[in-house]
Amino acid sequence: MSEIAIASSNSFDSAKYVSESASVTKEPVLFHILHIINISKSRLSQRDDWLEYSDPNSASVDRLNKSKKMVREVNIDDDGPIVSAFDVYKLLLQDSHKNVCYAFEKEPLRFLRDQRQSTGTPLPIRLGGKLLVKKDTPVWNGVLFLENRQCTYLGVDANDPLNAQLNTGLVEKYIAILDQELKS
Amino acid sequence: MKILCVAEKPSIAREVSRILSGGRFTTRNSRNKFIKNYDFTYNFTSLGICDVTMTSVVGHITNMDFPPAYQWGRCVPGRLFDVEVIEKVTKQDVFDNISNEARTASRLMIWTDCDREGEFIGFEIYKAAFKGNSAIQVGDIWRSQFSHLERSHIIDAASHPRSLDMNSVNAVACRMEIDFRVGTSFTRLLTDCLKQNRIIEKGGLASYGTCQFPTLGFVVDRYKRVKSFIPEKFWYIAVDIRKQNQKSSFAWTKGRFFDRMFVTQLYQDCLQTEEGTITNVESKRTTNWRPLPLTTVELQKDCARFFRMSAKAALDAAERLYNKGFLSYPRTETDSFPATMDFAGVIAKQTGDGRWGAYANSLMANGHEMPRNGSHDDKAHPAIHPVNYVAIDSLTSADEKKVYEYVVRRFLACCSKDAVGHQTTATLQWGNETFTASGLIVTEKNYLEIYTYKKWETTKQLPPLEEGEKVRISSGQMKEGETSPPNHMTETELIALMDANGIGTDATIAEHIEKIMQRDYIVKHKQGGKEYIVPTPLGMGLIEGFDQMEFDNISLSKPFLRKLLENSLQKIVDGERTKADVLEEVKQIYRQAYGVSSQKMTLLASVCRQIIAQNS
Repeated sequence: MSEIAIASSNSFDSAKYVSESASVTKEPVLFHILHIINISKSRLSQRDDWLEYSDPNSASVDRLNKSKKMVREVNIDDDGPIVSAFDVYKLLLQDSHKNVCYAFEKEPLRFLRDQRQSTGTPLPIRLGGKLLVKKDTPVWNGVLFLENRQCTYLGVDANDPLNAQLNTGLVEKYIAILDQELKS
Repeated sequence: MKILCVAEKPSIAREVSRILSGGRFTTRNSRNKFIKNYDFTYNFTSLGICDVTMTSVVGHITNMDFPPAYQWGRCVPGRLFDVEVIEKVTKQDVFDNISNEARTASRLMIWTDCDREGEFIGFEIYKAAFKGNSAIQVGDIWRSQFSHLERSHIIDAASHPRSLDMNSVNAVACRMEIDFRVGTSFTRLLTDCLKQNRIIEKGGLASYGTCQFPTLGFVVDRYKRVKSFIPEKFWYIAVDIRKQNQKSSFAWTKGRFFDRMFVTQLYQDCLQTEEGTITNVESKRTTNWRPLPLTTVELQKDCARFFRMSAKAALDAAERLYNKGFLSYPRTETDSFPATMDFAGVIAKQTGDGRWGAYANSLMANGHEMPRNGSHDDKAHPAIHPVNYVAIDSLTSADEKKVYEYVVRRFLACCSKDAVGHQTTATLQWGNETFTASGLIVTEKNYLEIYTYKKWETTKQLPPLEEGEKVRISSGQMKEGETSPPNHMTETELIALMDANGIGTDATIAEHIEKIMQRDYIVKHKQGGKEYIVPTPLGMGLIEGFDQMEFDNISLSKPFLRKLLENSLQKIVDGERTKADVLEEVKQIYRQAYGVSSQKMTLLASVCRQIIAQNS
């Protein structure tokens, strides 16, 4: 059996690792990527990005930064706000046994920055793609910490119904989630 | 042979006459009390000694109008997109003076400001001259190119005229016609609707302008952002070390994150190690760059920031200083100087001043630097700089004093060395995370000595640290912070937004801000010693109302449509598109938007009423 076939039958139950501050995966596991969150940006700022993507005419234009349609940021004051040095993503993953878990980037993952995967949306890749997480990947208190050498992105299967389910109405879903999180 | 020269302003006509005639000119009055006709002789390179009459206009002398049957109340405003536009002479005495003087002239020489608007005014002048003398042809017009009133520059401009740029003339004509048709139709529609609904008073006016509304849109968007702001928590790791009884704080190179779990995990990982390691100590010379040569927009932004002067007040003061011959032409997008410019000559004129003369003298004695060049060039004027010296105490206007001193200091700073410092940066590894701290010693202030508006100062120093050194973490904490609301819009920010998005030009940005303030769409208010611009309930209502109308993929309150127009106008200037083509395309977009708006005026009135009621 190939590594992918083996991984697709394996499971990962994060609850079993919650009390372990530093552990590793015992076997390779194949996941679907259900959701992607940029934890470097505030939710309000992400909401702006989604609004601009869906309808530039409805996005706020009171800030200057380099976006697709207009210049939206110039440095007026010398001291800018403290911001994250680069975007870090948090992934919601699901294995073939319907177990879900979170994964963080331990280092910038190449597949999330690959221009060929670019979606044109604020998301770096389409949802529903398959991710092979190899054996010995760090698990800290039930959360995976991904490094390039320990995971392989296998892309989106166009015929997988999950693909359509996750990506249909993406803008509305993301804005609704962000609104909900902002209210809570 | 007689040459008729026409400037854009009386002060320019007088100064150019004085320079070209060597002070030997006679003055005749015109029917306009501000405009004089100056007669003298001048030896032109290509024609030899000629009689010259120099006169001027006072800005535009013609304007557009609709025929009597299409005046306010006599037609549906939507018809104004297609009805014929007529040209109207707005300053008949000025127009007639040029026609009269042209009768005996063999050639017309235009001395208007060297920008697109000046090119168009040049064409208006030609039409007045042609009325008096049909032998004068467009192709024969001499167009002088000048940026300031320094003698050798003006003589050079008289010796090397070019032709009138009809592409620029057509671009301005196109922009004026679109602004006129769109502005008049929407203004009538808006005003009538708001009056009927008693939102504005009987004698009131609710104007719409293709620049006014995007400008208002910026202010409203910011206001809404402030009002709808929700604070969000973020987390980060902060580290202090103590050495030689000195505490040094190190900042996490990853910054901060909006996910507590992520930071907690990384922090817990750090806690596995009790001490950190200095992985890098870098000590290097660092420079703080002198400013770029000054553009109009930078002048307006800095005057707002340093002197709390409005954009209009700053530009007005700079224009008065230009008309008096003290500054170069203040409407420029260029942030560089020509390499051939006589920098030493300009500096030398400032050496006698009590405030900055000693610094100018030191530049003369030690040699000045060549200014840095920016990347913007309007191909018409150099960056703003002092042309002649004036003791600022002799200026009566407080704004002129501030602007002149600022321009001189900026110019001297441009010709100075960059400031120099010595920066030490240490990198600390704690667990798998890296942190940095730095200390700066300013060793040579250079341009900062004269450019007193900017601060770059020595900071707290790091203790002596070595690469590979193990250090005890005296405090390693996971900290929580919260995002803070943005401030309301400052005039500096508004100018920057308008400039970056092509709303107005360096020359008109100030007018648009002033106009929407006059219309009571925005107000200035002070908070914590700073002045902010906020929308009035009426201004909010107008933007909200238009935003709720369902246009076909356009917005009347965002900058995109105006930017599209500006890009198309540039294509006319570059000869890539025709006026007729652009006019029809843009008219069609606004015609459709007008159709939607006219059907949804009830919605707009209701939104305005609602917002006004909420705020009363």
